[in-house]
Amino acid sequence: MIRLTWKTLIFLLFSSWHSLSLADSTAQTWFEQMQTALKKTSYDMVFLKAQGQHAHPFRYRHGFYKNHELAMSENLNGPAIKTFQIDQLVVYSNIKQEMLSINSHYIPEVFPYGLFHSWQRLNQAYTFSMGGKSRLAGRHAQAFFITPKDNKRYRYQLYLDQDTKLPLQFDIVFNKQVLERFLVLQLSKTSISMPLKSLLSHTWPKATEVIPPKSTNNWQFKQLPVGFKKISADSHLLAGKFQPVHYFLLDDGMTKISVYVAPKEKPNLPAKISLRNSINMINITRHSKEIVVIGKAPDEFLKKIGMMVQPIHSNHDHVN
Amino acid sequence: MTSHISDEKLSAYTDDEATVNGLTLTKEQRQTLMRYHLMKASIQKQIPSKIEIDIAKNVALALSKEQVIKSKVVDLQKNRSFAWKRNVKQVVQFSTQFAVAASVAALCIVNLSPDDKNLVPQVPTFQTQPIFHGTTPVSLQTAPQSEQQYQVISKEEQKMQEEKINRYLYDYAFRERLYQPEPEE
Repeated sequence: MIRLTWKTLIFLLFSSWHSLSLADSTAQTWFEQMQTALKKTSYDMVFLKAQGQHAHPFRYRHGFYKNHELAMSENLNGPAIKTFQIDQLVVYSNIKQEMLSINSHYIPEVFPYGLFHSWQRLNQAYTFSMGGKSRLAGRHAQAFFITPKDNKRYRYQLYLDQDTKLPLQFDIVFNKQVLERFLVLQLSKTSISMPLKSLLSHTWPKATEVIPPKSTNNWQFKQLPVGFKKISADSHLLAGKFQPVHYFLLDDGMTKISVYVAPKEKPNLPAKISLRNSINMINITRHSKEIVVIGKAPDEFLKKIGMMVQPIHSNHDHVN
Repeated sequence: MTSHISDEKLSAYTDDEATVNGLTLTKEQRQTLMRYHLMKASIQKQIPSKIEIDIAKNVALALSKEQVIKSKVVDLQKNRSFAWKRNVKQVVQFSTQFAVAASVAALCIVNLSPDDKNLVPQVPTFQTQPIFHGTTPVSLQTAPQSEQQYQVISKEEQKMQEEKINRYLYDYAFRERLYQPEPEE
């Protein structure tokens, strides 16, 4: 009897482990199918971007023509602001102003940043899991969660169209509250449209380049929270008052965080500022410097990052 | 006599807490700063609308700190529209500082943000069906404020503080947009 119980227990443990790993691979499959759908198929969607009390409608079209990846996004209310993508070039266009181009393989303002990173990259700091089913934009949707392993960062909820695998909803969530929402209202798979085709007949301005500064950054991170990488570090001047700062740009795949180290001078900044969307800004004083951390992350997490930066020649980490 | 600022000196200036006003910048540095200015001009419609509301809120909280918490929340709601109007004024003031740079530049930056302040009040409050795991859409997210933030400061100091916050936020938005992930196969 006892032997049977043990066998049953082992069987149950194996079954649950097997189903967990199966669920994990299913989540990975869905995520990768979504990435393929975003970049490799032709579609037309109308969506809302909501932050705080404000929601703005957009239209986004994506497709291929003559082996070129083409996309176009435009706001539907107010003066037209259009953004175009021609392969690796993203061009911002406004009737009143001239155009600006940047190097990017997607239009940054449309889909959330994290959706373009590989599963392996995101898996360092986040776990993926499948949720229930729902109905959005008249389509059957599959819920999908991206949850931080340390539980200190924002959590993400994603609904994918079961048919096309394209995202229908994306939420940034913290403390059971939705901070930002991307919500598709209408989605159709189409052949390439004329406005997209016509993007190839224009001459576009060259992409703005960031000249890497030669100056040294005298501060460093000896460690970073799990999953974070340093993608930029320099010393530069803030526009406006030409205030010199040491700067770091950190990235965990889902969010980018900027860290500034500057001379402490008046006026003092508030200890923390929460913007209307999910962006927070914190200010702490260390080594007699003003350390400002800004990003889409909870303020406590930003503060933790702010406490990790230290002067290169400092042997001890003294906190003022 | 004008001084020349090298890239290496930028970090030194940071450490020495010196300012670079009145110093000559290299052509490269000037171009970089020009880009910052332009990008700043381009995104200024997005950023101030999001920060000054909170500053106005802090002032409102400072004024009403004798009241109970519930009253503070109500005051915040009332002050939001006031903050928005004041914000437009701030944007206009701020934009004039960069108008020259923006007008002479061959490379001109457009408004990256879809935000149009004139239309914001017309946008209805965003409400969707509640989603599972108990999450619900919210209107305004504010972190718990410390008492330190409620100190009443002079108008001049408040303006300087707002400008300083804006400088950081513009730079953040600029760099956050420019550094995009490489395509992953």
